[in-house]
This record gives sequence, C-alpha cells and structure tokens, in this order.
Amino acid sequence: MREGRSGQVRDRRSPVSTTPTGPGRKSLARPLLMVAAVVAVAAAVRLLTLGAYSPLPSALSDGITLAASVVIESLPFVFLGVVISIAVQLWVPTKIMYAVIPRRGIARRAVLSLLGVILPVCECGNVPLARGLMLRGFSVADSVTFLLAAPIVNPVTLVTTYQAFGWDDGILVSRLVGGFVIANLVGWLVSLHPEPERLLAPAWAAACAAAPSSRERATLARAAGMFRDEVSAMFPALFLGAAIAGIIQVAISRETLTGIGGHPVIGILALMVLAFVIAICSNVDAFFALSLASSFSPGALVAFLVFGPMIDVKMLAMLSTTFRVRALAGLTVLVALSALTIGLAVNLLV
Amino acid sequence: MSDFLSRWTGLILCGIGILSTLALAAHGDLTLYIHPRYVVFTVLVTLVGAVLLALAVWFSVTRRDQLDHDHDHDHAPGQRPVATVTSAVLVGAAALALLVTPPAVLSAERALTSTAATSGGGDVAAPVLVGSDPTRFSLRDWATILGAGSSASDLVGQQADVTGFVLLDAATGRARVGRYAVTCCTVDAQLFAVGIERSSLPAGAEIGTWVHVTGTFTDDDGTTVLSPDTIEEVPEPDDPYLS
Repeated sequence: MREGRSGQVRDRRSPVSTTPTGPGRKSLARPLLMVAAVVAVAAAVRLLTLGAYSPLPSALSDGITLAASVVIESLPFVFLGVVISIAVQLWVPTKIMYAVIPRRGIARRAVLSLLGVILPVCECGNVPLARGLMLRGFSVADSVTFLLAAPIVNPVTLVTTYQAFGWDDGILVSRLVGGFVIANLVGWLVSLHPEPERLLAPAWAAACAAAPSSRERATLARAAGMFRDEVSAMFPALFLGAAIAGIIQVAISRETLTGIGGHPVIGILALMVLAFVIAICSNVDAFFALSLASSFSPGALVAFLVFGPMIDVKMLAMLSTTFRVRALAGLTVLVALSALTIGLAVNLLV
Repeated sequence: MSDFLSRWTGLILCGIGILSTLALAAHGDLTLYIHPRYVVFTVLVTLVGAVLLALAVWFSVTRRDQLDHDHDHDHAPGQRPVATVTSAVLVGAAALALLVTPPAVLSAERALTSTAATSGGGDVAAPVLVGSDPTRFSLRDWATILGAGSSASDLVGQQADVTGFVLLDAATGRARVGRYAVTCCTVDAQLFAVGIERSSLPAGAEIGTWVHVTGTFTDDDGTTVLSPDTIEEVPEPDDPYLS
C-alpha cells in the first residue's frame, strides 16, 4: 500500500531488509523473547510503583496527572478510529461507497460531513479515519470536511449536548448547524486549491499517491501492518499533544480565562482559547461547558463547543502527521474566525 | 538507534499506554484519570488494542521482509537527528509518567489557585433539599445549594455529612473543605468547596489534609460556613473525585 513512500527510503534501508537471515525459528526467538522480557519488566515496574508514595512537587505531579489523563482518555478512541479506518480500507466495497456517496462537490461533502452520524468516533479517532479515507482515494477537501464535522454531528456528542443544555438558547442547534457549516465551508475552500496535495505533509502525500487503486487481498498480516503504520503515526503525536496540554494547564491557570466572563466578544475569545488549551473530548465537552454557563454568554458556549472539537493542541499535534504546518495554521485561523462569527451571531439572535 | 526508534516509537508508546491503562484498571485506580462510566469501555477497547498491537509486533518480527516496504518513514534525512531525539525523549517521558510515577490525585495546591464552581455542572441532577436526605449530599451538592443563594437561615436543621480536603487561604485566613468533580477525565476536574469554621479544624490539619465532617451551617460574618459537630482526619478516599 505504501510502496511509493518506502520507495524513497528503500535504498537507504536495503542493506538491512535484504540481508538473507531467513525466518528460521532461532532468529525469531530472540526478538520475541526480548519483547516479552521488556513487557514483563515494564509491567512489574508499574505494578510495584502503583501504590508507592510520590515525592514529586505538586505542580509536576499535577502536570503528569493531566497529561496521563488525556492519554488514557484518548487511547480507546484512537484504537476505535484505527480499527474503523482499517475496516473502511479493507472491507467496505468500492461499489457501496459509490452508490451511497454522491460523486461531486458540495453534495458529496455534505454527505461525508454527515458520515459522523453513523461513525460515533470523537475527534482523536477521526484523524486515523480521515487518513483512511484519503488512502481510499477521497480528496483532501472531502477528508477535511469529514474530519471537521464528524466530532460534532456524532450521536454521542449530540446526546450529551442535549443532556447538558436541552433546547436552551439554541445551543444544541447552533452547535450542530455551526459544525456542519464550518466543515463544509472549509471543505469548499480546500476544494478550490489548485494543488490540494501541497497541503499535505510530504511523506503522507506520497503514501496517498502510492495507494493502489485496485485493492489488494485483505489478510490479517495486511491489517496488522496497517495498524502498525497508523499507530506509528498517531501515538507520538498523541503523547506530544497530551504533554503540551498538561504543561499549559499547569502553567496557565484556567481561571485567567474563565474569569473573563460574560463580555459578548471577549468572552467568546476566552472560551475558544480555553477549548484550544484543555483539549477535552467532544463527546463530553458539553458537560464541561455547562459548568461555565452561569458566567458566559450562550454565544461563547457555542464557540467553545464548535471550535474545541475541530481544533485544539492535541488535535494539531495529531493532524501534523498528515498536513503541512502552513495548512494547519490556515485551517486554525479559518475555523477560529468561523466559530467566532457563529458565537457573535448567537449572541445577537438569542 | 535512530533506525530502531523511527521503526518502533509509535508501537512502544502504544504499549506503554496499554500497559498503564490495564495495570491501573487491575489496581482499581483507573478512576483517578477517567469517569467511572468509561472504565468498562476503556478496558474492553484497550484489550482489543493490546491484541492488535501483539499482532502488529508479531508480524513485524516474523515477516520483516514482507512488511518492511510498508514501513512508515515520515522523516526527511536532514531531520533525522531531531526526530530521533524527540522520539527518545517521548518514550522516556512516557515511561516515567505512565509506568513509574505513582498515580496521584490533583493537588490541593492547584485547588487553592482555582475558582470553586458554584453550580452542579455535568450530568448530575441539581440537589433538592425538600424530601431528600441531606446527609447524603456531597460537597458538590452543598456548594451548589450555597451557590444558588441559600444562607444559614435557609439551612437550619440541615445536617451535612461530607468528606473533602482542607483548603487554607493565606490571604483571608478562611478555611474551606473542597473536592474535585470529574465529568469525563481528570482534565475537566472542577473544584467544589464549602467554607468551614477554621477554629474547628483538627490540630495539625494543613492544606490537602482529608477530613470527614458532620455538622450544620452557620453564618460567619456574612459567609455561610459549615460548623462541625464532628470532624476527623481521614485517609484519602478510594474515589477522591466526585463523579
């Protein structure tokens, strides 16, 4: 699947990979034993230190707790996203995709942005899924539209937003419509780009270009290889994003942002910065927003609920595996301006 | 080394995450990081992830030749030293944070610089005084009731029975009992706190000391505070976060 990309590196690697070791039992036993030994030692260390006393200063301890919490919370969703992504690539027949999804432009992106309704994966899981769509031949614009819309239109998010706010202040409706509109707006703008591949990180663009148009046979080994590729790309980014989120939360008191309160414009900006910093899961961020409802305007809450699922520190780290930095900067500005506009509109209308 | 890291970093980090999650779950400490309602889901999906990771490692080792061309090589040659250092630091930091550092509750020092929340928040029903047993109210419920404007005279005869950690405000000299509530994961933890008569605190109680208090509410210079009938120092509870 990724021959093209590896084609670039094969020369460098060839002395290693073509060494005729032959997969005999002896040569396999050593690396597998080593893996088992490392896992056993790590498990022993973890179990021994679980109940230990922690001498760390409170700020460091809090930072570690917060970063670990982001990782542990995201872990199952990333797995879910990777598994669905593999399933989409290996087992969803092209015929069905063509039958269900319109061929062109705006209608196609509109349908894709609603795909989140049947794929209840929040933002971390959406990244591998959007990458899977690109490998299946979906355009950059299509994938971006899906990526931005899915965490908001997914059923779990809608249910929790309803539980938190009901129909009050049109927050639920504004969130749903706002997410849909921003995703399709950004998708439309990306579709106008003359060379959308240039938005992608070079290595990822090469991988997409090399993806076979007719699919290879689905084997367990191939699925395992795809799992490895996706995990290799996602986990360093996830851990980096979690570490940054933990550090920022210890360095900047959340209250500097929440203390700004009800100003109709600055309040919106404050909650958007908060959403960016705390990198909370879209499935449950409504509950968190509810706790801010007493001191912020409905528009600020909507901006928080629309912006956060699309862009935050953790998401940017994960998206950097796929997009160029400049593309991500543009994406962030675009989504931020749109979310701000929607927040202002809600404040004017409600 | 750089070849090894670029090949294995993601898988090692994945393994660290899985191992940490499952060990915490086995030890009953997963709720220090996520809300109890996600524990079963997290453990099940992590187990699936563990199986997939084992398969990925197995095929990587046994079919190295076949899969090598699949390998993810995202680094341009010029960036390799940077990427290698980043990978090594990430793996080291992740191992220290997730495998070596004992799990900890967010500190009371952090709580001191936080503004305590005054409305229930999350998916928890607002407390109703009429017809309920107030001794079952948590610090969140009391903070919500007080935040809604109830004063000591509204709460005459209401018996509170709460557990939380002590917060001492150096500037005002006031004391509070606080506890964090988590709606999803620890990142969204919010502090709920109720004032308490400082003179009633057990000797030697300092910031972060956990106490179990029973008592009633009284007016202290315009602020409604808890006036303990009994107050005792207790060890940190198994469920330090309200959920």
